[in-house]
Amino acid sequence: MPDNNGPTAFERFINGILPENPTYRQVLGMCPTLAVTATMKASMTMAGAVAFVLICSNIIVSLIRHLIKPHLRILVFTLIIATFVTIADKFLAAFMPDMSDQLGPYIPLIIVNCIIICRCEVCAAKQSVGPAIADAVGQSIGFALGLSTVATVRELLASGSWFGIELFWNGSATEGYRWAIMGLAPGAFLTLGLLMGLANWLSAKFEKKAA
Amino acid sequence: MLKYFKQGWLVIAISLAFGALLAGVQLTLGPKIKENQITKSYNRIPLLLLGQDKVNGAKIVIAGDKITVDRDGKAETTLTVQKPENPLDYDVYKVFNGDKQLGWVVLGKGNGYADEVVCLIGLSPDLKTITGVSVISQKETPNLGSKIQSPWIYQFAGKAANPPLEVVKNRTASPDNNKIDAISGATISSDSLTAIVNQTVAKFVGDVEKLKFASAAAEEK
Amino acid sequence: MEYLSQIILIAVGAAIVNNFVLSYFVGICPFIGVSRRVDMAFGMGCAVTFVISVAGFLSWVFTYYLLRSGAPLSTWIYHLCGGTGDSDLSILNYIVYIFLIAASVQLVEMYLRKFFPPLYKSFGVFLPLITTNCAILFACLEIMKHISGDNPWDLGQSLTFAFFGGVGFTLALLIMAGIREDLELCNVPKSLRGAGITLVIAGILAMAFMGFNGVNASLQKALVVKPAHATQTAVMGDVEQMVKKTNLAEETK
Repeated sequence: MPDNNGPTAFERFINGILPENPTYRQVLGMCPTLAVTATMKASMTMAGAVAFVLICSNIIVSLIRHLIKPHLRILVFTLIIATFVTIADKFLAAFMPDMSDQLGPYIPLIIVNCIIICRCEVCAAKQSVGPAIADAVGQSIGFALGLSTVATVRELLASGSWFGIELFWNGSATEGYRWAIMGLAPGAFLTLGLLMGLANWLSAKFEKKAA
Repeated sequence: MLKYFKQGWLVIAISLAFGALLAGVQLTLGPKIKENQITKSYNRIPLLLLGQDKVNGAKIVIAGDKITVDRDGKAETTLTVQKPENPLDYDVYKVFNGDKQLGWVVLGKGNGYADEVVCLIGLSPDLKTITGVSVISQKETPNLGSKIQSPWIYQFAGKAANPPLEVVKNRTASPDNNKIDAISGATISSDSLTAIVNQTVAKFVGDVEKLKFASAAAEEK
Repeated sequence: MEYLSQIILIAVGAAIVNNFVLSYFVGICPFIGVSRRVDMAFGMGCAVTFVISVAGFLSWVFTYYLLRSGAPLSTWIYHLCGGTGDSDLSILNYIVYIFLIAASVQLVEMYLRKFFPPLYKSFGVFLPLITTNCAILFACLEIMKHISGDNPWDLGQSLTFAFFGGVGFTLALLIMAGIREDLELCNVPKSLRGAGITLVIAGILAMAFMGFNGVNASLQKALVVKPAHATQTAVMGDVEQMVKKTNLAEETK
């Protein structure tokens, strides 16, 4: 008997992108959002790594969900997630070494990223593989969306480039216009805080219009 | 005991399965990762010892201990890198162009203004000239101290290794004296990098006699 | 004396100059979640410091003796089973660390339940949640990074790093809690309430802490006994001697 006692796969997928967006709605995974969003390239690499770990762990947890004893489930989740994060880290070190150096300790920190454990607990442990995969893909897209909004603002302001392509402020005359602090720690906090305010304001307006 | 096994058999099974998976990953990706570490330094050796003009626009191909500078598909120069048999606690490379020694490349580390600065220093075979410096990693202030990783570093090329380099703010540096122009607004970063270069060169000159190399091809130091 | 100065540098670096929360962005989730009141923030900070020290100690021991390439214990077992060369178990690093952290949290929980029951009750659900605190895993990862390579950290330096990292985390948490308590009396715009304004304040705090940027360099200059210049000129003097000797040798050839 299929356990369709929760949202369907399609609903899970759509939920992950905007309504239950991990960065702006659930306020999870703040550490990578602040740390790697100095450039778009680093953010997309991190989003890819999180997507890989999330999808693989959701699949495995969903497959063995009937075998896990309830009081051991966090242990099992952590073991599975840690393995996939190790694989992702070694893969990056082998095939994208400069990205791996730039991201540094933040790839292993995916293990304690609340998004993944939360999705395993809420969705994968309770539903079959189909909804679990859809949920993982949806949440990954939502996370990538969150990361890219912050990274776009920071990279455009700090170095006038996007994805490494210089757009403006690259002559020596205008070099001083770069807002360097956006690429550092304070800029990360300020950007994320203000963007969160913006997201809350927009969603409140949207709800008022719908009501 | 059996009760614990019944509770934990899944964890043990998963651990074994994933252990095997990780061992497989290590076997396949381990060598590639080690290779990447070496490539990071080797990529800069042609620039340090041959100079900008020979390297600009060319492709650098690394195979084992041979570095080839390729221009338009044709191999222009091939360098061979030798590492000492009794390595010191910092990386030292003896570089040959054919049979003749082209120079030395030494890794220098030290504290900059904010965090650690790691650089590679190219030296002539007689240790009298600094052929170039290349910063591998730095965490200085962006747009200020981070300029030590910009064309500012090219002024180190061709300076004499002795007397030690000095940082000046009055723009009196020129290729034939031992002065380095400071980065305006980033004096401490400029000072730190120059001090790292000076200290590494001094340390290496003291250590070079202790190094042993495989073949007796080039005897002079 | 030099060891003590290294310890001081690591301690100041971990707690203030490179503060875990404001510089390395780890431990943000409790930073936003628990910093509403000063007493809660202090309790959380102390618990995290305790756990991070235990986890740092355990991870150094495991990494040094078992996990890194060439580790004594694992190489000995490997040789017993007939292998040659060094053993390298570093692929298991992350899995071992996360389990050590879970074990440390359990240890601290049991200790608190036995010796400080009211404190244990006031923590409630927060204590097991410390397992997913990025700061602890980050401390273990930094220790792992500094064990390999030249100048490997020994137990004292790693423990200092972990402990003072926790102290820095507590410091940031306390400052934020103090500010947020006063913020209750202000009229924060509706969309920024909660996480938004906390992050903006954290940004300003991070800017303030950036002022500590050069402290490490100057502390090192102040603490190191021999000034760098003296060694330099001494050795350069030897270089001149050596160059003269080679020139002489060439001339006499």
